[in-house]
Amino acid sequence: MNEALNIFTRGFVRENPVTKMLLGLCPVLAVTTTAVNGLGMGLATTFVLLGSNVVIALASKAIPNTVRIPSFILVIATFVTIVDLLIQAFSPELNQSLGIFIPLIVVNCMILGRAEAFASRNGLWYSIIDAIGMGLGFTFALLLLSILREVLGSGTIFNIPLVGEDANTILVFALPPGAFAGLGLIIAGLNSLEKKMGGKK
Amino acid sequence: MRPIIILTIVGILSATLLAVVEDLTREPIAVAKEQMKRKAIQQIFPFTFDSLNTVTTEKTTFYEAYNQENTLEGIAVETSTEEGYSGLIEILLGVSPDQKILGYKVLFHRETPGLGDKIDKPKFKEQFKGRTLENTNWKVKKDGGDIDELTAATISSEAVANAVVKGLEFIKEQYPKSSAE
Repeated sequence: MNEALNIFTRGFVRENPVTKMLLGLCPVLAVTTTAVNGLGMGLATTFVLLGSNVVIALASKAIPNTVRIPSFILVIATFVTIVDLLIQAFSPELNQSLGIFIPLIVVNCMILGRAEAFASRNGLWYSIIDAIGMGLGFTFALLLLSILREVLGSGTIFNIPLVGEDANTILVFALPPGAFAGLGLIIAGLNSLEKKMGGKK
Repeated sequence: MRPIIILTIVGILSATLLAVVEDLTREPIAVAKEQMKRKAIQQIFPFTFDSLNTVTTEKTTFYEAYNQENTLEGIAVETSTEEGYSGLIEILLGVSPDQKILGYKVLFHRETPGLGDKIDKPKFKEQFKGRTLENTNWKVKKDGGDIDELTAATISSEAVANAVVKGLEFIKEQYPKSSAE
């Protein structure tokens, strides 16, 4: 059980895919303009990661090394398409705002990275824990960045206005450069927080 | 030989699974799209309509909104422009039977967040209400027209005005008699 907890927290904090490993930055930077988008993208990615980790943990022994990567990509692409169809069917609003970024989860290197580095070498149980830990870590980072950007850039949070419609907001945070700056600030903040807390461990 | 067989099996399994999911979601997706459209149409009309009649022509699609007594209360039309700051802007324009604008809704745009995307905010939209093809100079104020452009988003504002004019022209062409003038 201790090992499971270790795997879980590793994805969430110590090896957080976004703030530590800087993986899958395309969606991180692109969709984090609003908190709803960030959360939606994070959860969609978590679902895909969970699906691909489960299948790959179960099937990796049967898959020869030479076709490992194409098989993994095929599995991931299948789950992404499923998520895409489900979102279109049951959450058209989210579909409208996330649009083309859902199919692009396929090329999120975090997912292939977990398949290759973890799920293909570990059992089902640990792979599930790993997927949830990594997925929630990814979602957490996206949520943090998107809240920062939405509040500063648009003056709203989860689409609820914090200031009047005419108020001047820090527009740059809603634009692509703000994504880079915001991510940098968050990574710096988390690193310094970790350093301070490191003494207690 | 074994890798080929395995990869083929993975492919077949994936395709089968996707076919099943596609089949299951086809209906809900169609329903969701229809509902989104109905919701969008409802948003641009100040009244609640009872039934919709869709008229598709070569150029665009019209939606005739009828009340319970089956009287025409408004017409919505799909219109678009490529002249947005980032290209395509799609608009659903609603007019009354005498072809005065009731409102519009932006269906698709890629305008700059925080600047050009205000074309979908009530404050900008408000000024279009009651305008017709004839009673308005469809240029922005900067160019001597009637449309109050958004700060730092003149191109987006002009694009919306152009799309609206195009929509009004579609309607005039399709419903020549119902014009008040």
